[in-house]
Amino acid sequence: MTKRRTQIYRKFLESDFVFGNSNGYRVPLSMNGQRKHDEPENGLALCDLSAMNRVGYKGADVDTWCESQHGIACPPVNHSALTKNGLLVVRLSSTELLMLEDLDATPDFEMILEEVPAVSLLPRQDSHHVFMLLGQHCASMFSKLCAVDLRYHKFKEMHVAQTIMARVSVIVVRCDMEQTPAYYVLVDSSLAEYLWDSILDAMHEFEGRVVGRNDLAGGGLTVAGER
Amino acid sequence: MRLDYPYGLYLERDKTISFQFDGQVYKGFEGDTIASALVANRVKLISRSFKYHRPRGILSMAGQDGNSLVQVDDEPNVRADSRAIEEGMVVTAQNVIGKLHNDRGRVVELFSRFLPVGFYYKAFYKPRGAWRYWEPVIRRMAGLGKVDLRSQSDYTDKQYRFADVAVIGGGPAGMSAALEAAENGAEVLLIDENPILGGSLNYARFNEDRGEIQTTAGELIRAAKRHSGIEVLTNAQCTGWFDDNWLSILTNRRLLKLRSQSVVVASGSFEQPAVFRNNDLPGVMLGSAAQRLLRLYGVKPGQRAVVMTGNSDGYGVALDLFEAGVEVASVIEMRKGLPDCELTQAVMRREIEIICNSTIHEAVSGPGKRSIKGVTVAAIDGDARLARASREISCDLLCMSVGYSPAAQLLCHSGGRMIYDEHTSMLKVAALPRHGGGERAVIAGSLNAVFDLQAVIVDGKHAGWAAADMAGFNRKTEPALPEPRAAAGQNYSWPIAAHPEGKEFVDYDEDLQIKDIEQSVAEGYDNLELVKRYATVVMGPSQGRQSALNNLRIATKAAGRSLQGLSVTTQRPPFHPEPIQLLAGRSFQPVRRTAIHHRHLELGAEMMPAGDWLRPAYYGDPALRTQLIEQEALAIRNRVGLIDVSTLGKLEVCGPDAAEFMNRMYTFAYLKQPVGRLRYVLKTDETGVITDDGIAARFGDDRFYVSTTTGGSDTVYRSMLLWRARWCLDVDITNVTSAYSAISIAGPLSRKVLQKMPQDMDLRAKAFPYLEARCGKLSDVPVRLLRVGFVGELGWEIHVPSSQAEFLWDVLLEAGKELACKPVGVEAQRLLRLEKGHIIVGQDTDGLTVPQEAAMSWAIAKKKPFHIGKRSCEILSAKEQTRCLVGFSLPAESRMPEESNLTLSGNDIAGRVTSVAYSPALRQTIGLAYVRPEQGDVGNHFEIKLSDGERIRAEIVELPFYDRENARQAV
Amino acid sequence: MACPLNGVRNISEFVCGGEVLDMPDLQTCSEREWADYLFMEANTKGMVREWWMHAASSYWFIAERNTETNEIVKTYPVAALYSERIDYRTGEL
Repeated sequence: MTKRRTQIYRKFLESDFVFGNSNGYRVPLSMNGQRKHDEPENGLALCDLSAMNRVGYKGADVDTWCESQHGIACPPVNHSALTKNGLLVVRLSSTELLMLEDLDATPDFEMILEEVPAVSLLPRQDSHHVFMLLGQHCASMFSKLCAVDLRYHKFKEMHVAQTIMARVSVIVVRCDMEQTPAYYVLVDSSLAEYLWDSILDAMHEFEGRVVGRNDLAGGGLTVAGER
Repeated sequence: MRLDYPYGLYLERDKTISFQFDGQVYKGFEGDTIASALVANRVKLISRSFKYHRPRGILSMAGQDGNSLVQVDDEPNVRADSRAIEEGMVVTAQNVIGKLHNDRGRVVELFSRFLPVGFYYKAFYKPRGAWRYWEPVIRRMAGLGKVDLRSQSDYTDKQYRFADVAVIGGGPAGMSAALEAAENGAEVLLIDENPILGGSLNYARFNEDRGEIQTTAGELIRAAKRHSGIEVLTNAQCTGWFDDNWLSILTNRRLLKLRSQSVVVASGSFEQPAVFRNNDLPGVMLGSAAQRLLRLYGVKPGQRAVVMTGNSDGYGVALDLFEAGVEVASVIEMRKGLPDCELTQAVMRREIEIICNSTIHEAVSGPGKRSIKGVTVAAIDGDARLARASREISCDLLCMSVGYSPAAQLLCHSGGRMIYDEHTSMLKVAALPRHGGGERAVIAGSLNAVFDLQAVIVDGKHAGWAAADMAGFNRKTEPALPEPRAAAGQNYSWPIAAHPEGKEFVDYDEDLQIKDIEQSVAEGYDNLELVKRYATVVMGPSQGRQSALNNLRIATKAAGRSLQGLSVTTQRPPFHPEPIQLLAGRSFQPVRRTAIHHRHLELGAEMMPAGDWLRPAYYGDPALRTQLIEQEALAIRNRVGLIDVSTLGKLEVCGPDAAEFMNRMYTFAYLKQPVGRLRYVLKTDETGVITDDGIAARFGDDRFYVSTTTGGSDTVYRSMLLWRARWCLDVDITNVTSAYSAISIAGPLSRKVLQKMPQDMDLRAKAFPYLEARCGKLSDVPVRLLRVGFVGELGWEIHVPSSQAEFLWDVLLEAGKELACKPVGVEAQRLLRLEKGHIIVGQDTDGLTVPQEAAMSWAIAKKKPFHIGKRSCEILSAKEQTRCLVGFSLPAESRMPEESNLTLSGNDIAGRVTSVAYSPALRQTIGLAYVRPEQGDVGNHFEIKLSDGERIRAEIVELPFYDRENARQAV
Repeated sequence: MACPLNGVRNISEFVCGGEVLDMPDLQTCSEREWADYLFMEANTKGMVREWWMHAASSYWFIAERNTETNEIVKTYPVAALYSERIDYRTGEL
């Protein structure tokens, strides 16, 4: 076993997943090839991205820091932006940023970590789990868990909501994959298993399914998209 | 009894459905309700009334009255006139002894003379204890459906919905409003309780030529369904209207919670019954009920009808019945002369007898009161008095068209108001809900006292525009309002005919007659809210839909007051009965799990809740609980054990003012705390009461790492953020509770275990003494090591990034294997800390405990200028102390007290036991308790009163109980 | 309720922190004044200023609420009321 583990890795052990090591974690990469092609087009998928890198930055100087370190203007509060090397920068307050490694990119995260001064660093890697939900039924599924209107025409790309989902605090970031609506959901690690189960239950009526990280990237995904 | 298409709009005639009612099998069509299918099978009797077991049939045919309540399988109180039939459904009558047809409970009516209003209050409360005897008798005789406690709940859940404009009611006004709002760019949700849109267009008679209405209805329904800006929700009932346009909507298996910017209420009106003798018998129904039966279900409501009317709609009913082949014996017109309107002309052309200036005096009952066989008619003599009944007309159906009451209940939930207008004899909406400092609601259609069809559509359109405008959408210019037209003529002013023999029902649900309302007023309950509570009028299942208006009229007249401007009783949610399973729905109960949770399960742990968390209580078979806990405690005392303490709150306090901030938040002194040192933290609120405790590690001049209790992480974090904002200190506070897991390793062999692992820290006592903290690596995992002594042995708290905690736990257990290292649960941990006399905030303290009472004065730095509880602590320490926390032990033969058993001083209460346990290390029972300060010296004895009253003697002993020199934790 | 940071949210996302009160000077106030500050509620009918926190973002702000109608009239960041550092002196120094 790897040194790093997510709170929900066990949920994959008994199902039909191909595993791989990534970033010190053992992660479910894709559903067993056979099944993927047999399944019909589907409008909702859930993926655990907790193994991916992320870190928080807190300080009064977020605007200048973001610009000098990442070469982008700091997004306004509750908005996010992508850097050139594939880092999703999420602005949570006037003094706080959250940086997520984006799916397609390979930013040098070690370097990014080194550039965050110790007093400004927030250990988001361990404090939060990251799930991704994608597909056309996302918004309907969310409406069973969350009172914020996350429908596609109201909650636009790169928007951020800090809110309650299934009675626990979450950060929701809309970050579409090509034409498919997609949302990151960040939740406190100790509540990750609880929220995962709650989402699975809410997904049931839409025939949503769990997918691996490689099912998302590289065209292997069969989630139908419609904004 | 069935009529061919186009009658029976709801029916799918190619699908026949069988169901059971009161033991008999009947057939209906898909789309039928229980009630319509029964009428089609010539069954008129559906239920028995609440109090007198009177026979009842269809009243409103709209799911709005209490006459049609039946039991469907294990579901009680189902409205038979709105529940669709399903194959194999078993419907039974409620509140019946024996069969519905021949209910033995009906004898109660014979005694009705002796059952005046308020008789429960009068009859059964004396002598003392009588109620206990009578209650089951009354509950058996009067009541509704039966709850089957064995029935299984279905899967139900809840969903949030969003709309710019919500439109309640899918009739002509609502559809027109929805279309206009959507045309202005608003996102509209159109909600209707019926299976299809259309409202009154589907059954009512607006003029002689029905073709015109069908065209209008068809166009509106098509347009509303096709508009991309409108979502239509049928079979959905809006049940409540809460702050900020928050609407609760019931659908079949799901409770919707809708938030909209603005709301159009076009919920229409409830037709009102007339009050006369036997107005409750099967066969007497509202005119609109007969029309619904005809048009929606294709069922003839009777063979020979009399229509009683005070408005033009009664002529529409007569016309509809005539055209459907029902013989219309007479129209009884309450007004003096014939109204000059299209529908009246049409009725006259068909040579139907019209008797003016008259009313129904009594419905004449058929055998067993299960139907009517005719009516008696009396002339109205001037001042709403009756002449003697002059004529009897035979019929099996009596339709009442005497007026309406606005369906304004939802409006009233959220600040709207209805008042009585004498000019029109109607209740009208006088105030609308307001939210967020402005208007957020608009009404349309008959709710707005607009009745003419064309005017209703114009009114709806304007309402739709206004609601869109309120929501910020106004692409189009404001449409015209309908021409003001008085609504006079819809309501007959006094549709009430008292009868010397009574049984004129004002409230069907509660079997209340005219005399009951008058009696209540006479007994002094002359305010409408008091009449309601005394007589229980408008309190039944229909919540006054058919009784509030007539009750207002009768009670006000009895009190000798004017009706003008009076209001009905307060309306509260829910407007419709809400199945509890929908409210319960899918509930969310968050559970926090540590990163090591599944390892505990694999090790056989018995988990227990601790705040929002689950923690291992002990490891192993619950049958061996006591033994297991003792073994775990001894493992730490004699060898080594691991405790998952990840649930402790963990906060980072960083910044130039970090030490100053700590100094203000906590009672102790932190400015001079050296880097690398630990210090106890005790938090009080402004009143000096202990609220939390923990440990602070200083990792830099500007960095503290602070732990809180398991339950305290959120409250301490929030409190810190608030005070920081107030003080404007340069400090950042981060809640890292979940980022770090923590494993406590304790016991004389704990250093040996750690030294067996690859690590880069010098753990020897000199290099890493008690109460110091280090950062380093253990098995190549970055850790923060805090050398603490909560359980009183050599030990460390190992704080580790949560993603690596399970790995580290495995490595620690493996390294400790040959030293017999055991996982240890919360129960043993609590016992160990008790042996050391350490308090648990919230267990050994309560909502009033101040530091000096808990012997914590040592943790207050008295010289510093400020901490949150400073002033209160100073004031309290100058005052006489009223209790103190002491350690006690019990003799070996003594019984074991429980936590919260009282401690005594003489016969007076001195305090309570806060913690108690048998200590295997000390081989005696020890505990903490509050006693009076004068009792508190070591060596004194005091009494504890056990749960069964027995008193035992306890001796006060010095703390800590175990290792008094505190040598073991410092090795 | 409109959070100055997150916008309009259900009231269930918020925690009330009580009325905004100025702490009397610890050194000079009487015991009675201190007790009044701690325990005596003004129970105002009308507008009150309160501490509120948006729980999901742990963001404190100030809300002005009408206790009679339960209407929240306005909300704004804490800095509008508390923008200068507060320090406490020692009496003895």
